[in-house]
Amino acid sequence: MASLKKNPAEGNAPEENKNTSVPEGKDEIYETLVGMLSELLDMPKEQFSPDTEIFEELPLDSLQLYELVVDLESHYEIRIPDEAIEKVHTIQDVVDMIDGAEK
Amino acid sequence: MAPIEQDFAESLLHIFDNVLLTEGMALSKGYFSDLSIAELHTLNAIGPYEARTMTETAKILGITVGTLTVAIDRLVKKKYVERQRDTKDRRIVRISLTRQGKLAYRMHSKFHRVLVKRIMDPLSEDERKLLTKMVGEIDNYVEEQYKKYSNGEQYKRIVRDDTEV
Repeated sequence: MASLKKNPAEGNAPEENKNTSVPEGKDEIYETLVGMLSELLDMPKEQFSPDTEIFEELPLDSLQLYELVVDLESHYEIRIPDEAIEKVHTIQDVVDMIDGAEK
Repeated sequence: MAPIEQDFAESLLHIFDNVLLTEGMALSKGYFSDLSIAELHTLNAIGPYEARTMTETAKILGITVGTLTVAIDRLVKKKYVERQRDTKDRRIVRISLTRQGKLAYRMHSKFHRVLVKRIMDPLSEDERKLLTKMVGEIDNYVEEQYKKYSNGEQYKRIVRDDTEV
C-alpha cells in the first residue's frame, strides 16, 4: 500500500521535492480528508462517514470550506476550481474528485 | 443625451461605484479586514497557483515594478504574500500567495462568481453570449481610454524630467 506523506508539500517547497511521494489510494485520501475536517470543525473523526453530506450535514461556513479546499490543494498539489466544488455532495464525492484531479 | 442613454450612463456608473463599495464593505466586515481593495486586486493578479515574477505581476496590474515592490512589501508583512528566489536563477524573485493569501483570493472570487451567476442565470444561451460580447466591447473601449491617459502621464513626466535637467 502507498504510504502517507510525512511532510505534505507546501506551496513553497523546493521544486525537486515535488511529486516524489507515492500517490495515496482512496482509503488514505478518505483518512486525510476526515482528519482535516475533524480538525477544522473540531468534531471527532467517528462522526464522519463516506456518505456524510458536506453542505447539508456539516456546519461548514464558506471560509472553512475554502480552508479545506486550499489545504487539499497544497497537500495533493492539485487544483480544485469552484465548478468542481459545486458538483460534490458527500465526503465520498470529494475523495473521488481528489483521486481524479489534475495535478 | 436621450433618456435611454441617460439611464444607461447612470446604471454603468452605479455598477462601477457599487461593486467597489460592496467589495470594500465585504472586506472591512469580513475575515480580511486588514486588506484594501487595491491589495486584494494585487493578490488576484498573483493568482493562487504558480509563483509569478514581479515583472509579470506588474504588467497584469498595469503598474510599474517599483510601485508593485512597495505593495508587495506590505503584503509580505501582513503575511498574504511570500517571496522566493528562483532555484535556477537567483537573480529572479518570484512571488506567491501564502495560505492566508489564497483564502482571501478564493473568498473574493466567490463574490465575483455569485454576481455573475445572478446576472447570467435568468438568461438564455444566446443572451449570455450577446451580453458577454457587449460587456467585452465596453471593457475594450474603457481600456483604450485608460491607455491614452496613462501614455499622456508618461509623456508629461518625460517632458518635465527633461526641463528639470
